[in-house]
Amino acid sequence: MASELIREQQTRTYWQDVWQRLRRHRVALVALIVFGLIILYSSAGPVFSAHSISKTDLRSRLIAPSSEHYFGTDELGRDIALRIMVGGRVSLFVGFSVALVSLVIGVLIGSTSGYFGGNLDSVLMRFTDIMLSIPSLPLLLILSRYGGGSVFSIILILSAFSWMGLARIVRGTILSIKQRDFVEAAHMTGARNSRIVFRHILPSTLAPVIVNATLTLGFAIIAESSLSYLGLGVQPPTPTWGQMLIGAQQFMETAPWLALIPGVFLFVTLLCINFLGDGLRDALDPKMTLQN
Amino acid sequence: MSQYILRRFLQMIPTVLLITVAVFWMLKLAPGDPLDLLLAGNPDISPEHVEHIKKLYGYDRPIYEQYGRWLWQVVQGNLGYSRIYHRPVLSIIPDRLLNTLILTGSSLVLSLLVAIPIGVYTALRQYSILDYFFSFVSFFGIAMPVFWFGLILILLLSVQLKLLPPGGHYSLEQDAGLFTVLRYSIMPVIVLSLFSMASWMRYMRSGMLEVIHEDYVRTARAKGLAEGRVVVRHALKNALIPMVTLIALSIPGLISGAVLTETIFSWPGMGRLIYDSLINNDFNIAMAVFLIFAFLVALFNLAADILYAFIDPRVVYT
Repeated sequence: MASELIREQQTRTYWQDVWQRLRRHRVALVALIVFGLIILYSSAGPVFSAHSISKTDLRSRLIAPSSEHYFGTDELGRDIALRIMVGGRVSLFVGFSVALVSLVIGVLIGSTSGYFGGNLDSVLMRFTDIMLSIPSLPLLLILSRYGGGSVFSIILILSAFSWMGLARIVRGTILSIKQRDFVEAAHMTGARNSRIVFRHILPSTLAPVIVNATLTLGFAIIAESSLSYLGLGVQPPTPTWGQMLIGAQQFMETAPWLALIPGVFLFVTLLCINFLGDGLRDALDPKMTLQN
Repeated sequence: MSQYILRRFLQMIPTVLLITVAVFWMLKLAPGDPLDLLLAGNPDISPEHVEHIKKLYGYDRPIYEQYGRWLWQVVQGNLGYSRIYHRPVLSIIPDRLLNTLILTGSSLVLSLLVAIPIGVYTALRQYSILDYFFSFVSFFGIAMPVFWFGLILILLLSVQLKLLPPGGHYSLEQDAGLFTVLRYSIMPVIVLSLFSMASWMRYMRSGMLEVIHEDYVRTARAKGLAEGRVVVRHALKNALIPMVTLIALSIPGLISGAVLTETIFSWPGMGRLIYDSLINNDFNIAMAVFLIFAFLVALFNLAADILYAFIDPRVVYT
């Protein structure tokens, strides 16, 4: 009996451990499921919708949630449920893309800075500090003029202001492990710098990077919706959750669902991402033990 | 000490300059400058006239020269003329700056007043029901988008309960007594505070948890000090040190939040001003606001560093 348990312990990989720990974290698990449902609803939902995304119908404007329009209609008579799905696709796509692009930029800058050190490090980190000290929203408002509000341009603009946290984390982790023996050993065997960085050092930074990328995803979704709410993000007719809230303020008394529904989706998504980030932080930490 | 402050002050100038250079370039290169708008609005305008206007405003010069001229004017205390308000920028800024400082200042104070006691309490009663409760609350606060929270509060408190005005500023009312000021300010301040309140609560809790197990805290207990004294004088004092940096780092985020809050509640501050100026292509105002934002951030960083040297004797400033 005991030997079986030991064998089972030994055959578990790091990722199986992570999954086990994540499953224990009940809030994170619920967050993962809800987040998955929201992604599924946005991506597959439009197929089952009987309404048209672009057709406006002034006779059926501002209908309260009913059996035909279960989230109601907006000021132009469009079905809100369908706009939530399509808007969710855009908002989530922007979020994930920004997280990915920032990840690449952050890892490149952070690892260059941490690995090579010296003047290059000072210049890059000074630059990172300056980027961190700029209030990003006003600057995003300027930049949003370039590219005319296309999804692609918004992704680029948001990425330019989202990589700093990742860069700092990667740099910090690399500084702490580049003196370790296994890196020294790789140097001795004559490995090139790029090989040492990509094969030996970066894998060790994986845990903090994943957690930080999750938080960046949340930041990107908030930033996109804020920008869209101010009318300077993704331009109509492409809907996003933030953009759907633009007109909501003036219909607050007659049609409160206009403000409530996109906001609830936005808020629940962000809540899930934050809980998931918290769960991943614990799950990815090898020092956290699994108590059976 | 004064030498250190002076040197740090001088170091902050290149950072501020660099930000203005970047913003100047971005604004100049962005499509749709006033001249484009003029042309779009009046296609019959003669090429000579366009050239004349270009010369008049120095638009025919290379950008670095335009920047140099702008900077030279700023150094002399001239921030230019506003295109939409038809007034010198300098006459618009002070009121707006004051309003923004009132808004951000109150929400800073409110966040600290809420976050510190809750952070301390939850650290002392780790894993209690209230600890879990506030942990959940802080997650909600961090995940809540500023502008949606604003909309919800307006929906609840102004539209449904009709308790508070949905926006605007107390200076528009005839009697600006304390009650009026509060009625107009309470929602914007709460909306702007939510994020910092929620995240500082967590930082304060973990900061407190870190020091509460230190030897000097145990020593203080062992020599028989009252628990309240141990917590406040020995633990809290040390746990507050990292909060100084945290507050300085959160200033840029607070400014971004102010842009959203002021837009939602029509609060006539710097955030609303920069939003309007960018929508209306008011170049001089946008540059002036950015210059002030950059200075504010730099000043707070400087203040945090100096404060650090005062409160933490371990820090050696060179």
